Amino acid sequence: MLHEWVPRELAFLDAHVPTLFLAFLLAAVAIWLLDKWLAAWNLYDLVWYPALLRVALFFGLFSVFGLMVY
Amino acid sequence: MQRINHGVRLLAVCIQQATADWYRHDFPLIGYLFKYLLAAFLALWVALKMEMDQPATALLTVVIVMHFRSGMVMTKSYYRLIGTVIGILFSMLLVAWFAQDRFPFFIAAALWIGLCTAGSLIYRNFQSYGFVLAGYTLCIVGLPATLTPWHTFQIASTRLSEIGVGLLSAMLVSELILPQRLWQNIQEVVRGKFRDFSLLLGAGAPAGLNQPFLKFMQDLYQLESFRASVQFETDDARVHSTTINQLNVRFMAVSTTYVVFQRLVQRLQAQSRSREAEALLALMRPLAETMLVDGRPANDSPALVRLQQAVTDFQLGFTALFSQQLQALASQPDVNRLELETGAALLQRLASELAAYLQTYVLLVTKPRAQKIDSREFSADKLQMHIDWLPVTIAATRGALTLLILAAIWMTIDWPSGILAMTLGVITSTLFAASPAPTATIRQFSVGVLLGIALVYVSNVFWLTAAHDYVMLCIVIAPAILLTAWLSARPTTALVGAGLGIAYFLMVGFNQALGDNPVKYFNDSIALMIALVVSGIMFSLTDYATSPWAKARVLAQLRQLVVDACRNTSMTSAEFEMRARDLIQRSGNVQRQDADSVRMVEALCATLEIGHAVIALRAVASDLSAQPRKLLQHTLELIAHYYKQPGQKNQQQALQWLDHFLGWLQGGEYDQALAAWQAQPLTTQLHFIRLVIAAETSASPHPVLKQEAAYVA
Repeated sequence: MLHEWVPRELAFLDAHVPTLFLAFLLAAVAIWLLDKWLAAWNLYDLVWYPALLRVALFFGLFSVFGLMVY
Repeated sequence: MQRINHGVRLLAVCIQQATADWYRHDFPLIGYLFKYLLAAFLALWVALKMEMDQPATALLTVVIVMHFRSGMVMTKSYYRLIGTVIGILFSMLLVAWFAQDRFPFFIAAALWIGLCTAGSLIYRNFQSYGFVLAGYTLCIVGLPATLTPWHTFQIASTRLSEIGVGLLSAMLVSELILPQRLWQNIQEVVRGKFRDFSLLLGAGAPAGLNQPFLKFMQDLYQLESFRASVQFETDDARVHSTTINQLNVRFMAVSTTYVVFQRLVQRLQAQSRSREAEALLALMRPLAETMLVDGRPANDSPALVRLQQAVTDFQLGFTALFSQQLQALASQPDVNRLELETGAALLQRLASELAAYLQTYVLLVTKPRAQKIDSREFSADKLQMHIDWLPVTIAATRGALTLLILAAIWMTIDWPSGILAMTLGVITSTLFAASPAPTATIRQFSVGVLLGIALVYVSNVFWLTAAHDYVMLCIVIAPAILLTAWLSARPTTALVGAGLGIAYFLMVGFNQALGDNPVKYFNDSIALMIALVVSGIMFSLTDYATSPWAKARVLAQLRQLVVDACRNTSMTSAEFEMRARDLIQRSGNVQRQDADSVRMVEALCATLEIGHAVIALRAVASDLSAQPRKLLQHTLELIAHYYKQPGQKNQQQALQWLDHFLGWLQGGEYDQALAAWQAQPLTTQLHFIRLVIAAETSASPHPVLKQEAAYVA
């Protein structure tokens, strides 16, 4: 899997940044795009609690990205 | 038995009503307090769990970004994050450049604060917040780093993580628990605006125009500030963002045209040409009658559809109605036909703009489920800004000087809490830069800070020493958080709340070591007070917004805007309108309701009147042949000249030229050179401009002004 060749920390301008942080940013961007799309297609009408869905989706995606690293 | 039953039922109804009332008014506030506490506790827990240096910074972040509305929290957090990151990057640069010498360091820091203050004044809403935070971050990262330059990176990364923790907990809590959506507020403002406008239009000839116009303007900017925050909402508000913008622009157009029309009527009445005025009002009456059904504005969708139909009918039947009126007046002596035609042209514009506004309004109100609206068609009409560089420069200088003075005090007396003083000095000078009455603002904020200092004493000395675990710590900070939340939720005490929260979490004693240190406490309190005194003095010394000079300048700028409209061929009427309104809005004179605000709105209406006419004239000029176009250019140049240098001579010059031009158009040599469809709008526009300029005499700016002032009084 990915974790065999992705390091736990990345050097960003010589500062060590945890790869998890990158996963966090990636998940945030992905959620932002997904959210735009969901709103544009009125899919939030089908959901009882859109904010909860957003947060849950975010944590799901973040966990997926995080598990890829570890 | 029956009586008891009845009593019980009555009691049940009463309790139900009271509960419903409580749920509507008080419950959101209690929910908000609860959310506030929860967000703070969450941030505190995470910060302690991760063993961050200053958990209080995370708490301060929560205090700064928490807001009643969930979407606002997201927007505020977004700009806070951007501001913080930029501030941290600049702090690191600054430390890298000037760590060895304090003079260039403080000069560069002062320049940065000046820049941030200018930015916070130029931008509206929460964008201006980003600049405040960029300045504040320099104080919490850059200044401590100067003492230990080799730790700069560590300080920067911990502050960033603490702020991140605060932001995430605030966002999470306000999104997930009892979210308060903006859509409700937006709908209320939109409906309220429509109701007010219908009542005004339905009244026929209103007593005072400036007050309603002022109210509309405030609604407009309120709606815009809501709209700026809908990007982070989950509900319909975001999808309707473009529609709201469209509504704002269209409403602006229709309200301006209405005011211009009524001013024309009032001017005719003032010149005792009541026959023309009566005829124009009679022409408008069918439109006014359709706006109100039994004295009430339309509020359900069938009524709105009927209203739209009625407006269309009015547009279609207008020509017939107009010729009827003309015939009725033909028998009367000395009736000026041109004035009627000018008014009729305005009415036609009013009707078509009203139809456009209604279309958007219906879309927004009766079909709340998202209708996709082509955003490309509308991207050009954002609310434009008019930036006046003088107050911006003053504010920037003030911010920079405040920092330099506090730095000088810090350096000369070698005082341990200098950083804290500079932090609060920078916060106040950037945060209140845009305030219309900064001295009063600072005074309110100071009350909050003093309260915070008192509260810190109690919690540091008596409570924190007894706090042994997380739960106890939460109990210790709970009163301060609740008080901050409650004060900041009410508009009248919001500043007190802000002062309290900021002072408390800047000073509370659980950063490196738990508990109290009296020396540090007194040093810190003195630091906060010195910062307040210095920035208060700076604000009162450079109080630009309330000086009479500033008002004269605003009036001069409005005239300059008219000159621009005459000379700048690329300016559209929407752009002109937005710039004029933004200028007045920013001048800070319209928040109060006094004679000054009446004069400002009066000047704004006069500017809008002439500006739109000039721009319409330019539009007509574009499809004329070369010779009449040259004459029109000359006309525009004369008008511009008059507005640049107002005076009897220039006014007479412009009026004489307009008279000549109108004379030629109406029967002279150019009658043949132009087709009737070209000559007609040209004549009415020129005549309208002539009326406006003729009414402007330096002794009494406008006859209506006295009436308006009396109405306000």
